[in-house]
Amino acid sequence: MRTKIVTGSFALAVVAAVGGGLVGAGDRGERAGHDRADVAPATDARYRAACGECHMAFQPGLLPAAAWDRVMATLDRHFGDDAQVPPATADAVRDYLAANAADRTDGRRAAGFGSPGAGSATSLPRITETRYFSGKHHDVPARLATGNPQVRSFANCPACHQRAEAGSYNEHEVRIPGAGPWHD
Amino acid sequence: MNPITVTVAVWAVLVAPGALAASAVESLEAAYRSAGAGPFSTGTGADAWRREIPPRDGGAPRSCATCHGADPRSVGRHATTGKIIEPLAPAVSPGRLSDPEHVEKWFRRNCEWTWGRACTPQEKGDFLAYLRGVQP
Ligand code: HEC
Ligand code: HEC
Repeated sequence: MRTKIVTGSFALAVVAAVGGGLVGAGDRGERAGHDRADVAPATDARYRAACGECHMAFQPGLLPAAAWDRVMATLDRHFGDDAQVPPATADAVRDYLAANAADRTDGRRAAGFGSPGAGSATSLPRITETRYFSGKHHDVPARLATGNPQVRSFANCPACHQRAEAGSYNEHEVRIPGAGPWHD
Repeated sequence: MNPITVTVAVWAVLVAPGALAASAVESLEAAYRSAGAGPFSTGTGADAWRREIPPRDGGAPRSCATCHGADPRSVGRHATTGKIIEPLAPAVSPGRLSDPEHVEKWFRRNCEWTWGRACTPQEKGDFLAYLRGVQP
């Protein structure tokens, strides 16, 4: 019981900190004259806890609903990892992703991320294999991404996009570790 | 939940992280002992932390240190996703090893990923002894 309460208050503190950070980031963005976030931030606490442990909790607006469904259907074989969560959590996460998916919302980048990727029908869908993503990153050499020990994967959005957690992917906020700000 | 309980819980997290990890680890150790394991050894845990096993798919050998770093006081990085992982040693990361369910979930996932099998109660107890014993 004691552990439960402590974990609970921990979770609250984390949510408060994350929420505060997002609000703060939004304020700064507006003051600096930036557009609103490219994709709505992932605010659902259950989603953040279940899907933000091994990588950033990707914003639901980064994939279409059908792709999220396929990811949620095979959490026991998740890109070489076991990402299973209790059934009640899985249901809540599935609903949250479906309701906020790229093809169910009208954010600035929704049309881009909402269209199907080039990936095969058998492998799991990836944000990093959508045509939109590839189009935006084809100038970024592998040496700076997968070959970069401080990045390792194109799925590591926050390594390069300073405000990725807030759903902001503006190319002027890109800073690649070991390579500095991006100029194209 | 009454406000005093919450205040005490928050106080415990802020002021006495070591004590929290201690009670969680003790309850896990008790469970491992009742499964026939023990006594637990920091030295065996430390060796196991760095023991590399080649994965079945033929990739590079893996150990706990692959993602967490050879020193549990240091910040680690997920081998595939590149995500930063805060240190596991409760001595430098308050809140680590404080929730038995969380600890068991990650043993289940990461023993499988790293060594391709579940860890035994003995191995888990040795890991906990090692991690909990690391000084700041
Ligand atoms: C136990 C670790 C773990 C958990 C928990 C986890 N994932 Fe993943 N996920 C991974 C790994 C490893 C990859 C592959 C990353 C790479 O190749 O860079 C991945 C990749 C992904 C990708 C594709 C990223 C890309 O390349 O575009 C999506 C989408 C994804 N995860 C969604 C989820 C969702 C939704 C959840 C929660 C239900 C979740 N993940 C929980 C480990 C995890
Ligand atoms: C290795 C660093 C790196 C990683 C990792 C990375 N990006 Fe990018 N991203 C860039 C760079 C550099 C640009 C700008 C490219 C250009 O315009 O030439 C960019 C551009 C973008 C753009 C277009 C921005 C604009 O202003 O048009 C979006 C959207 C985007 N990235 C999303 C993502 C998402 C989502 C992820 C994670 C799934 C991600 N990126 C991972 C480096 C990265």
